[in-house]
Amino acid sequence: MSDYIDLKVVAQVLATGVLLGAGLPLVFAAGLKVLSVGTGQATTGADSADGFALTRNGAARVVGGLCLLVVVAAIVFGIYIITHKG
Amino acid sequence: MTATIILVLVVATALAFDFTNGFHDTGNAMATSIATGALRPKVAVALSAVLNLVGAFLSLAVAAAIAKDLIDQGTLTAAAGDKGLTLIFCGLVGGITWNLLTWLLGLPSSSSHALIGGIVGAVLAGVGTSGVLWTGVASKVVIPALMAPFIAGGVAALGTWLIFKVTGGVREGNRKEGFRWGQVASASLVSLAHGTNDAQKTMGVITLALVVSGSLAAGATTPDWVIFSCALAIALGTYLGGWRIIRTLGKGLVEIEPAQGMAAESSSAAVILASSHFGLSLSTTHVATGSILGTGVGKKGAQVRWGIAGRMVIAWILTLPAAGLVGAITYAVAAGIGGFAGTLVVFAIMVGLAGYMWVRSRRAPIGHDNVNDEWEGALEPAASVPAAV
Repeated sequence: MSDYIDLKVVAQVLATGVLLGAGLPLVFAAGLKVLSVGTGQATTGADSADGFALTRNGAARVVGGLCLLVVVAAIVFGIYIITHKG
Repeated sequence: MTATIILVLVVATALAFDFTNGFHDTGNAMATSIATGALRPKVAVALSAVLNLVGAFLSLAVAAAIAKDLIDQGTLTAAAGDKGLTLIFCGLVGGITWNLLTWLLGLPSSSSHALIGGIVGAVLAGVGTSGVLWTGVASKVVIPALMAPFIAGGVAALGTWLIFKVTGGVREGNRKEGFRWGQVASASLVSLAHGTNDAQKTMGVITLALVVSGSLAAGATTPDWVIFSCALAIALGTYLGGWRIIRTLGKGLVEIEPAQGMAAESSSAAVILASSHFGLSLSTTHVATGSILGTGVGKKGAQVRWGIAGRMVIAWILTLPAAGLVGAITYAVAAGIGGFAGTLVVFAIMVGLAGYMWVRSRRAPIGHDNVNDEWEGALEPAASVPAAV
């Protein structure tokens, strides 16, 4: 069977896929959420549940900006992988 | 002299395959951005073409050895001269024919599998079963094709579900604008990765043809003109658009909104890069299709058209045998007639088939202007107007 499927490689691809392919969109979405709270557009009810009610504009911007920065860094990392393989 | 002409025909056919590879796969990266309106159709294909061109020039350490785990490499190189060239040529004809047929039907299918199928078929006809490494066919082609949609689809479904969970309270306008950028960035990454992977395949085929014909020493590096012409062919193909496949992927499978587009392309980019890094031979097409399906599964209440997904899977299963059949038949024709005339006849058959399928496609053309029309159960929009290509 191992001639046909290398389960370790499949697991590696799946784990990387989940971490970067689903994780980064999550970070990006979280960044958008925080930024939109930072502009004071969201309702208080929804916010307090998420713990953002007391977040100030500035702090929200920093956190949101950091989230987006993580995503940009990951894309740069992706380009690095593309250019340095083989 | 005729040997030179045959080599020129093989190189031209390889570049034609590269071109079909380009437009067949534009949708893998750009279908979601086009469907959600994140990019205008013409802008999307232009961006993807440029990134494919750039990608083709990156990472050129070794041009990919074509089908090295599937074909006993000795049979291609040992069948020196005309026979080796004819095997490669008929393999390419099989790949091109299947690519064009699936494009006509608007079905995404793997260009690498089509090429592999064509060459395996030609080798079966020309050398026999001993030339084919069946374990390789199973482990590098069949099993990955079955796994890819589940891996990519699972990642995309999870990503989609998480995104909608987190951005629940965000205003629609902010959300759309934000995800629009995320979508374009992730789709660009898929295009770049595609250029590095797929252009190299044709470079490998042409290099092999040059070695087999004795024009290039075995083990030589890929000549510059091969790199340039392959990069250009795949970029031009990408720019042409392959609108029929883009339409199926963007409108046919699921109704996509920007957040899903970003989830799909992020999943595609991550799974494609991870699989090429860890050495799992997943097809870009299968991954991209699986991701788009996954975003439909991951969003509550989204409609997934499983009938269309089913047709795609059937096309994937048929890719290898169908392209192989064309490769085998054309090899039998070429070898039966023999020599230069045989190659010319096969070339004429290919041009004829390609012309026929193009004419068929013009009956209900799909272009950048109607690619996003409402999906009404069929590939061709009901109010189809003649479109500029």
